[in-house]
Amino acid sequence: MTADWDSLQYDQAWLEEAIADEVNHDCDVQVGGKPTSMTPPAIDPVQLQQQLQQVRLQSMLFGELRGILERSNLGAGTEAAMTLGRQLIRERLSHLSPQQQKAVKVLLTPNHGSPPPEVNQLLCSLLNLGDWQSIAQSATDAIEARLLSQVTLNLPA
Amino acid sequence: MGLLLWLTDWVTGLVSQAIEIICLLLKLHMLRRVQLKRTDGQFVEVELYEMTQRHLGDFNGIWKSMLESLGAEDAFWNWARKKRLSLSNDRYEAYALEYDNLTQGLLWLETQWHGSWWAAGQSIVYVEALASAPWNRRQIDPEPWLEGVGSTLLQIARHRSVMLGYGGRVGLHALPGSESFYERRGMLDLGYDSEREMVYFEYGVLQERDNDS
Repeated sequence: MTADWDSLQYDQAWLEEAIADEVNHDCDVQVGGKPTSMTPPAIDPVQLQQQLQQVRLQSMLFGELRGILERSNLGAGTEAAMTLGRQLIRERLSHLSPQQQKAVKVLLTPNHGSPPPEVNQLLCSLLNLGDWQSIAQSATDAIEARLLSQVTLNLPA
Repeated sequence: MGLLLWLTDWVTGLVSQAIEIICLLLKLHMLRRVQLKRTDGQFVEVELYEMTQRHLGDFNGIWKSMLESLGAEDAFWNWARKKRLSLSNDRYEAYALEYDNLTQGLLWLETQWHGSWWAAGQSIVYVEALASAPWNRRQIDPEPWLEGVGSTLLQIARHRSVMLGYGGRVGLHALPGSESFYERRGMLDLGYDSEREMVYFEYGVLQERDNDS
């Protein structure tokens, strides 16, 4: 029997049963590390909601970035560009101007359309020309590295 | 005749679009899509990747600070080292599940050195580490973003075992409190491992019906 990733089989019934088992056994499946007797601190619901909103915001911005990079057809440079772009977005989100903070608040309003057009505006206000040039350069570097890994150069002694 | 030409153009356009999408996905190292369930009850397609730098970026830039503030032990796991080992050593493999442009789960496997405790001489895939994003953990948020991430990653480990010719044998050490879950999922309790201070569990050979259970 040959197996590849395409032959991985499971269906919605399997998934429902697995989820029910996780719920019934109060188990978030996690493996690794060592057993600990430390009791985790109580979760502050307000802080948790703020963190979840940040996650939602990054999800929207990363989606917009991905769309731009896919339309730019960067080929083997896409992964490097995406990695740097996401890193820059995270950095910029920690230093928002009052205007950007206002835009973020609008984006995180419940029941806002998905994906809202304001995401593109916010992304373009977060990343400046230098950032986009750095992203493009990271893609170029990745493509160059990929190409050079395919050839054997006869360098002068 | 005009209709035929229009139809030919339309089909050609569709095929080239499909090829373009496939090429793009291949460039991003996607292995396949799997289904997970959102908390609103909707089943959604999630992408399975070999772990890349952007997944590490998500762990360090998003997961870690959340896990630290919540006092979770795995905030300090070094996924960068795990990924590095996976690149430099064939026996390690690292995977990530991605949805909504965020890393939803991480998996690290050892595929060559561990043997079955149940069937002597048989190779297994050993789950070194498995973690769901903080927002997918019921113990953090009673309404997780996605449900079934951990179980699906386990199933992926099992499938990898089939791919390697190990028949679906998978081993892991269960963190305290999760033992009954693994038993319920059909894993064999092979006793307390005093070296690791945890109970060791193993999936046996995958039967046809196990695909549905």
